[in-house]
Amino acid sequence: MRVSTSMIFDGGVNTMQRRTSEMLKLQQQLSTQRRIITPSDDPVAAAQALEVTQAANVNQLYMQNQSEASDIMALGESQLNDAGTLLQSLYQRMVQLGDGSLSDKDRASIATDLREGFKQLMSYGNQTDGLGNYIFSGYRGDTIPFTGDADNGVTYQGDAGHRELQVSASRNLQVTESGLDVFMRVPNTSVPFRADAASTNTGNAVISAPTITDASLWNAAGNTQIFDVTFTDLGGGNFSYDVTDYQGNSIGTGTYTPTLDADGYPVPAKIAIPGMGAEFTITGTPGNGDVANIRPAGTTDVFSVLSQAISLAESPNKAADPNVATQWQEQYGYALTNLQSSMDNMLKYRANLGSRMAEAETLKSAGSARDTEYTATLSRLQDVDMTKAISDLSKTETTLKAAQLSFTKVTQLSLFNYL
Amino acid sequence: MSASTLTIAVTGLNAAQAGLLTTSHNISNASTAGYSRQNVVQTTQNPFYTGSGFIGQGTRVLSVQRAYSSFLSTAMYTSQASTSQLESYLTQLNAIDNMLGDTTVGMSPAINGFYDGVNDVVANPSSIPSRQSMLANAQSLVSRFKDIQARLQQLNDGVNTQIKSEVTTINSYSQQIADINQRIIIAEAAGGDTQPANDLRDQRDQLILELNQHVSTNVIEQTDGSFSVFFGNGQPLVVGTSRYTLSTTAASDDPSRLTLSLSSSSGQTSQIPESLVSGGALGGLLKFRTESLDDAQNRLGLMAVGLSSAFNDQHALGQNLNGAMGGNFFNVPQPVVTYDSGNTGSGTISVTLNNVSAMLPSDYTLDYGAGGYTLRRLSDNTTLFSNQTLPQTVDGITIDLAGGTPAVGDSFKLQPTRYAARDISVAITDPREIAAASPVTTTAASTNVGTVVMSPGKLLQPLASVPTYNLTYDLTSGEIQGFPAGTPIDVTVNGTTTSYTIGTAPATTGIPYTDGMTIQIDASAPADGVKDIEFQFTGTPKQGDKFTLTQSSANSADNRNVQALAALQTSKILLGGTASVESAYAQMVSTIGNKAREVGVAYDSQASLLEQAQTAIASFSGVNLDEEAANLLRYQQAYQASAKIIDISGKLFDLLASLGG
Repeated sequence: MRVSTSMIFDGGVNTMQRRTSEMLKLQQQLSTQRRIITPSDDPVAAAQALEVTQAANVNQLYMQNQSEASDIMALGESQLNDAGTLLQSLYQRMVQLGDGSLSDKDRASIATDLREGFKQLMSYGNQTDGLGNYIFSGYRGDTIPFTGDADNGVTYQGDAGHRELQVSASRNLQVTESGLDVFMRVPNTSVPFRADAASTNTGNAVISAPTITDASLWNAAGNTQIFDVTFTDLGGGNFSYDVTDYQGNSIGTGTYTPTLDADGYPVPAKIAIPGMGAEFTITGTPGNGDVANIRPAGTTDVFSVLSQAISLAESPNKAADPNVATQWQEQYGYALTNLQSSMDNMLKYRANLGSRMAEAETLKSAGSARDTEYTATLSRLQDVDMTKAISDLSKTETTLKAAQLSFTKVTQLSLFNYL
Repeated sequence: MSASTLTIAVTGLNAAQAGLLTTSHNISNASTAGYSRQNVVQTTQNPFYTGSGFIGQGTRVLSVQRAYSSFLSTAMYTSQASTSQLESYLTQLNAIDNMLGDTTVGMSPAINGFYDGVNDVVANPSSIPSRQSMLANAQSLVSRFKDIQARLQQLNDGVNTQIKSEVTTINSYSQQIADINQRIIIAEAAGGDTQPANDLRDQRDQLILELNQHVSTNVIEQTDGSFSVFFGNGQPLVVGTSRYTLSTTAASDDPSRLTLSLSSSSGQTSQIPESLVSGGALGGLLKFRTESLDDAQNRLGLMAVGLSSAFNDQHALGQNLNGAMGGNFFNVPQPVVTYDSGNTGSGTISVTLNNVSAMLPSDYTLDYGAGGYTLRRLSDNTTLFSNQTLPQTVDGITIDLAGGTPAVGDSFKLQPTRYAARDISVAITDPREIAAASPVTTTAASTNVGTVVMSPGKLLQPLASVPTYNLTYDLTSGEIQGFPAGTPIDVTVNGTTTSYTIGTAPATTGIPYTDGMTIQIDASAPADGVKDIEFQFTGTPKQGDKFTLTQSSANSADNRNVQALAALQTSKILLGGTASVESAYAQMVSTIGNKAREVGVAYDSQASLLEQAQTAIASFSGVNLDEEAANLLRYQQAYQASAKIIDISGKLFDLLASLGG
């Protein structure tokens, strides 16, 4: 091939430029530690790196949420722990109250303890987190959940909500418990069913001792456990009663004549719910049209249980009227059982919190393992292979030096040197 | 015949001198761009006839030729045009590529930062500082959108500026070529059209080569030696000695971009469709604009539209700290309609977002003809409908005639996403207005005897206010009662949906209870046919169990709605449900990266083709100084030899003269 002088010069310069730009690229890769300087260097890996970065970021968010969840749950758990310990000690005081030989002074001291315990339990229920949000008021973080006192009862101002945090792609972890569930919805385990005098009653008859006489009848599928027993004054100290179901249909009738014992105190009498396998006790004289309500046991709340305990501690357990003692013992039994039920209920939610805290911990370690994986993937996608890059760099350097040397040699040759 | 010897010697001297001159010319132009080496074509003089045969009369120079191959030149023009096109395309593309590659300024960190803020509110729904940081992160997300859009817009403006300067340069070259054509015609005519004007022709070839750096051209040589230069698909730039002027005008369908038009010396102007112009830096700029810049802006815009509208939809289903329903969180950017400057009708077109997930990153052209409207998608040049009436919903947008009457031939350019990244903004400034809570609160009464759990409930549609329902289970009828009469309710059990209207049989008093039922209520007043509220019942109810559904109170620490907002980070809300906003961004980066790689590889191969063409020309036409040094010696010796002949013929004459003496 014919070679022109400009070819020698241009060709030499072009080759040296190419080598220099290769060296620049390698130098950039080495100084940034990245294989991909711009997406065009490896578009597939660049897009993948973005996706992996997003996944890693989301994972980190989950890890952050897991820590937040642990913190929030730890706070709730410690409150429930304290409340449980408190209830335990109150329970022991209640057991002491059952001792018939206690002096009035001892009973008063128990009543004081119970009142203090009541206030303390309120303060546990009304605990706030670090941001001033009430932790047991459901969603209504700004609303104090429990208001009222031992004498007038406690009402719940929050709602049934519980906050959740997303702690993994597929798991929303519940981090708070509603005060409604923990404090206000305690299963009423003291009685098989409720038998109460209606609030509109005018007589002085006391309704008590709901008892199941035939469990198969009482728990039968069709038994709604809702009945009203209405008394009608027949005159002459005689009463008739009509038992109606929840729809107002009469399912049976009977008569009741209050009697007095030798000391002039009313004698308790049993009234059965016809065909339903249950009965209750009536003591005293009802007014005309007075009603005894028979209802399923349902739920109670820990504050009512404590209120009841306080009023028991503050009311005499001995009186001339034998009915008073019987009823005190009956109520005492109920209070004790329901206090136990309250503790069980609280323990249940504490256990729930505990198992979810354990779950958060497990997720945390899974999350950090995943984080390591993502970091490794990212590094594989975009980090430079140092050994290879350095070896490439010195190879290119050698080539460039050779090109420079040969260029000067070739260009020095000219026939004019000899003319 | 001594006189003849002298004559022959003189022809030899002249020829050697011409050779020496040409060699010197070659040596001195060894590094002149576009110079083709010249050589002297020598031939014998017509011989003299004698009885004893033809006696030579010496030599003469027939012509001075340049080493020129039109085949090699054309190959180089073509390579030059392609290389320059790819080079200018690549330069522009690299600007975007570098911007996206930078992990600190791309969209990805801004999107992540934004969702970090959202998750902060998930963890602390009622905390004002958390809410403030979510708003601040939203602001920086919006400004990142705007920054990148502004950078792309700058590139667009830069393309406009460069098109202008390219056009100026091209005009200057066509002027110079027309001038040099004139000089070649005159110069060669002076020589009786027998000898080529080598140096002028070299200059013209060089000008054409340089013109090809700016736009790809075709060259046809005319019989008078002038070149006619054409570009595009036959648009003339230079014809003989006259030239056409290229100029820039704002495009009729989009005043923000410059397009080309051509005017002849007589002043006739015509628009040049962009698609016809290829090659050279100008071709590269136009290709970059239509292939990559528009696409990048539309893709970025689609992300802005998708993110803001999906976020707004969910935000509207929440309730803020003030107890009000969540309004817009972002101002969703609206489609832009541009009216062609040639429109004669008064029709105004409205474009509204209908289904963001179905939208594509593209512009559209809507043409009104005698048969009706025709819509073309520009990204893939597909006709979506032709000769139809409006309104039409296509690709997630609804197109309608907003007013006026279009005239036949009117054209509209629809850009649903082009400026979206510029137009997005945060709609709220008060952190209390972030709708983190769900407006629906449900409660099962604590006195309930049954085991029924009522799910927290959620809004399906934005609602002015959530009504309060006090619901009771009635054992006799087995119904949930307490819904106001006339309320339409859908009950879904095990995938089977039954529709009821309260007060109308079979739902005269309520709806039948089933364990696991999902209830959807049309709670709008009056009912609008769309279900607004949803909740579930599970468990076994007892007579008289009570349930309440009501609007949530203000200042709630409820995080249900902000959780749903946070979940949008990974929701595939774009491109037909195939991409989340971040994966759409990854797609955009990989599209640009792939394009840059593709263009880069093409550029490398074109550049090496160009180098080969240059080498081929340099090999054929270039000056080799060693060769010229040898020629110098040769012609010097030829000169000396001819001079020796003169010397000898003088001596011969002296010999003859002495004979007489």
